[in-house]
Amino acid sequence: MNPVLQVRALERRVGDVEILRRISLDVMPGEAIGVIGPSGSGKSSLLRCIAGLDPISGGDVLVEGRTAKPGDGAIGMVFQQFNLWPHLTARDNVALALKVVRGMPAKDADAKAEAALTKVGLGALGARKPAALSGGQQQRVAIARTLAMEPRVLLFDEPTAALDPELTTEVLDVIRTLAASGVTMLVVSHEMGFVASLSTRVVFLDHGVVVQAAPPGEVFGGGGEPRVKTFLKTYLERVAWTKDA
Amino acid sequence: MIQALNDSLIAAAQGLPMTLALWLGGVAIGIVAGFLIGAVRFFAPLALTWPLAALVEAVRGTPFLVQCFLLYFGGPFIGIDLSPVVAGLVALSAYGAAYFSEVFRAGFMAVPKGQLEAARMLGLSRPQTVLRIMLPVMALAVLPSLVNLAVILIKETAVLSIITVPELTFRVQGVGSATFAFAETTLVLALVYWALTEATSWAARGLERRIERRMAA
Amino acid sequence: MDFIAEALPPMLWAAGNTVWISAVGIALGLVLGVPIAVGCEARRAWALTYVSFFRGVPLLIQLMLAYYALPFLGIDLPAWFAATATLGLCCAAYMAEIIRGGFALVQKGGLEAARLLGLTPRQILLRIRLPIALQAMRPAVINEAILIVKASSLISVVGILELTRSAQAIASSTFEPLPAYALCGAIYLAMNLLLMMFARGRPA
Ligand SMILES: Nc1ncnc2c1ncn2[C@@H]1O[C@H](COP(=O)(O)OP(=O)(O)OP(=O)(O)O)[C@@H](O)[C@H]1O
Ligand SMILES: [Mg+2]
Repeated sequence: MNPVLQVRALERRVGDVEILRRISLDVMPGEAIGVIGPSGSGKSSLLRCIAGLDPISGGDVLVEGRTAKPGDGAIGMVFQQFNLWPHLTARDNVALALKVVRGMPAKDADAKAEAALTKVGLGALGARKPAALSGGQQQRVAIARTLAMEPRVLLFDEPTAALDPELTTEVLDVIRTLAASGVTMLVVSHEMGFVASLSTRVVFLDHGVVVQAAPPGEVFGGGGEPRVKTFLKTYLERVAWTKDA
Repeated sequence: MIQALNDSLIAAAQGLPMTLALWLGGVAIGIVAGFLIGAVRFFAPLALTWPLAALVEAVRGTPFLVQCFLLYFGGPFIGIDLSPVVAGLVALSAYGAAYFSEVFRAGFMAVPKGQLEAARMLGLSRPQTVLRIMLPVMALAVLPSLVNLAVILIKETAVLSIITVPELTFRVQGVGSATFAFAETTLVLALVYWALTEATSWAARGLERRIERRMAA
Repeated sequence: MDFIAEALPPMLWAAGNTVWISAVGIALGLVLGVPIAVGCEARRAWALTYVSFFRGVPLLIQLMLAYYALPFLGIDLPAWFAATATLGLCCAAYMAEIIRGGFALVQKGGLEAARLLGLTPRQILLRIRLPIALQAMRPAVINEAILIVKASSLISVVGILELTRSAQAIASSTFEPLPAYALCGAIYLAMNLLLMMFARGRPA
């Protein structure tokens, strides 16, 4: 089997600052890659470079063997801030690209948009504008919008970081279902439990370098790199502190 | 005194159509030209747009009255010989365009970058993104400023009386000069303009509320 | 060049009048703006009507009212006084809105934090609310100042010798309106650019 996504010696520099240093990664169809690492380590930059939103200074990003460009349908991206278009209903947010990019007749596009919304559990709310939706619902519309274009690879950049804690579950569940149905994805998240249970592999970034890329059992199991261990220890102390730990 | 008030009201009724025509014309031309200038200044590279920027700043930095004088009295010396009405319309449109262009430029800048990146990832072309995302998103944001400017332009039309445009102020002042009842005529003028600007603001608030309600649907 | 050598000195002298008339107008506007802002905040009819009137009626008409209607009521003021006062009264309506906007920006939380730290209401006003509001207001106040400098040109209509009036006089005596008004515009532009630089140059 060939990889869907090949990242080869990817570099990004801004001025003298090296944000990403020779990152290589092959992603097989159906894989869910969890990307973790300290703040400022380059997780968002990696996703944005793969998507083509940030210019790269060296290396290649190939989807099914071809260089991907933003908007060519190969890669879909879900943002931390949802980025729904406020003047369109949920359904129109999903249907717009189907109509104007894919040239689908309005009726088919609307039907497909409804189907995508149903998939994320929002079948009943298609007529609402983003302002009338909760954060979790907005993010699910954003997922449906990307999903409807059937990209080969889906990128999630901290999809729940802008949400209240009680709203994260509904979004994480949608992503989990997608992963289970075989959607290839890269997910940046600080929800370690989610990353551990979702991912086929976990990539740990630090200072723009892949420190470790391994199955979650290895990364979270404590056998890994010292830097990863320190990061996870700090994380655990923050979210799951117990008296005798 | 009653006579003077009566004459003033008649003159006001006669001058009002010209004031409204100049205002609507100035607002319409100003919005179209201002939109184009704002769009060019937002989308074109800086090297191309600085003359436009200088022009906008020059118009915004000088009094409307001086601009009217420059065009109406200075124009004929360089072959621009306009009637008072045309000169007034041109001056008002140019003044409006300079301010409107800043509103639109700010509107373009205020469209969240992420919403444009989302459009780009989904494959919308540049024109599609401008037409279907940027314009509708910014239309809402700029509406209050547009109304505000339109109200300012109603008031500026009064200045055109100084270059003898036969609009509201000019006509009513004519009654004043004929009867020396300047107090009455000026009072009528003040009340008519007050009513005009209040009505415009009131109508605009209604429009804004309706749009807001539609957005929250 | 000859024209500039001849016209510039009288215009600059007249521009001095524009400067002090505008300065007095702006100062008056700022001072009167405070009680009007308070009145508007309390939804007082007089304050709301004041703002609506002075923002809704063209300044030219306001000047004519002061010039023609006040004498009619038996109030006879020197023209320059009536004109400067009108400029200030009009400016106050706009300043009131700016002041309200500035204070609206002071967050409730910051005030509660100050009270919990034991600051007196007076200290809170002087050390917290006022500095924050003033800083928030600065761009709008400078913007309003520029508008007033430009609006002061209308005072020429009631016969006061300021920049625009002097340009008119030079235009008609030299029969060269084009350079006269262009120079006049350039001086206004220079004054306003100075104001803008003043706004940017001093970090708050
Ligand atoms: N356009 C840019 N110009 C200069 N520096 C940048 C730019 N974009 C990102 N950086 C820098 O690159 C580094 C990586 O940023 P990035 O946003 O990818 O980190 P991150 O891992 O996503 O962090 P976080 O967890 O806080 O989201 C940071 O040090 C950031 O300051
Ligand atoms: Mg990030």
